[in-house]
Amino acid sequence: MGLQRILMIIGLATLAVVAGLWLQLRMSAPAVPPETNATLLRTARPIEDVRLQDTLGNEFRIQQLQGRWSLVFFGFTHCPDVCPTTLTILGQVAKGLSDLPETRQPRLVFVTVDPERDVPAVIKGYVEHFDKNMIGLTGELAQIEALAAQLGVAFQKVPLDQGGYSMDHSAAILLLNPGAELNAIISAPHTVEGISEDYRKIVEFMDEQS
Amino acid sequence: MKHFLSIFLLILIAAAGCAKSSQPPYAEDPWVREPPPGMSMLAGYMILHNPSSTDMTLTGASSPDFAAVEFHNSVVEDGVSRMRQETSLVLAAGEALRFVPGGRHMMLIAPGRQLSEGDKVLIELSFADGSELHITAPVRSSGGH
Repeated sequence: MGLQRILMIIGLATLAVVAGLWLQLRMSAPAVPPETNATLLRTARPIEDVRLQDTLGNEFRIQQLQGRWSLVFFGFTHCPDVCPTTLTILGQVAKGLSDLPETRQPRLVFVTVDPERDVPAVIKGYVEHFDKNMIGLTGELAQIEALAAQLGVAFQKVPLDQGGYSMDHSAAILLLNPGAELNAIISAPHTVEGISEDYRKIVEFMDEQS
Repeated sequence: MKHFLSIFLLILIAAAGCAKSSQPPYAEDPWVREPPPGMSMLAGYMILHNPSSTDMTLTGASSPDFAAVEFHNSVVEDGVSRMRQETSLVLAAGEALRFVPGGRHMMLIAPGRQLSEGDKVLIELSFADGSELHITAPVRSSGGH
């Protein structure tokens, strides 16, 4: 047997193995996730329940978010720029998605990182200004911290030179699926078009998967 | 003669171009975001132009409608949004500073009254050279016209 012939057989065999592997991979591969600016988690991350307070001062467990998709943003009402900007965008996103079936429309959720100043009554007027159905949550700092940590949200109190304080906080918007699990992270900068497009793609993709 | 005139005109135009232009700064599309009820911190936005050929330094601002006005910049570092105060801002010759949502903004502290869409507020900017710029900014729910 000539060397050339042996090489050819090896070459063909390798090709066959590679082709076989490729076919197998292709057939068992899950559907390709949509291209989004948001970071879509391969496996949604369950959230351990925390006890917060709604704008009427009633207990609100984060698992009560089950049943619908939720867009969650952490901020504080003494934040003049980023929070109102983001919440205005979220209000417009919800309006733009109102053509979806009601069960597919997102809930909007604002969680304060400043429970000291943001008591239920303060948050009530605040969230309703941006969207009348927006859920506003406050509560004990430890419970808010427990929720934030699970969602990868960081925040910190920063004293101001002239007295008082501000809050540094994650700028991301979190997308929770109808199982109240973390499904995607939407990083800043945010636009109405960007969030709406990603939301439609992700919800459609997850519906196809199930 | 015709030739001479056009050359003369050209020289005039060139001279005008070289001369130090001292046009004052101006604010394009100033606006203040309508606050949710009871909020004590508001943000104001604009594009501040300096059409002159000299750099200018913005050193402060005040308003009869607020207890204080400061300049702040919202920055996102490692996914965390932080607000940093800026005590003076250089407005380079022929350039503009953009005060936009999610970025540099005027922080308007403790309004004297509840402001809502359609109201107008007065903001006075002061520069290092002693000059001032008075701006009337409408209160709006969001950006754009």
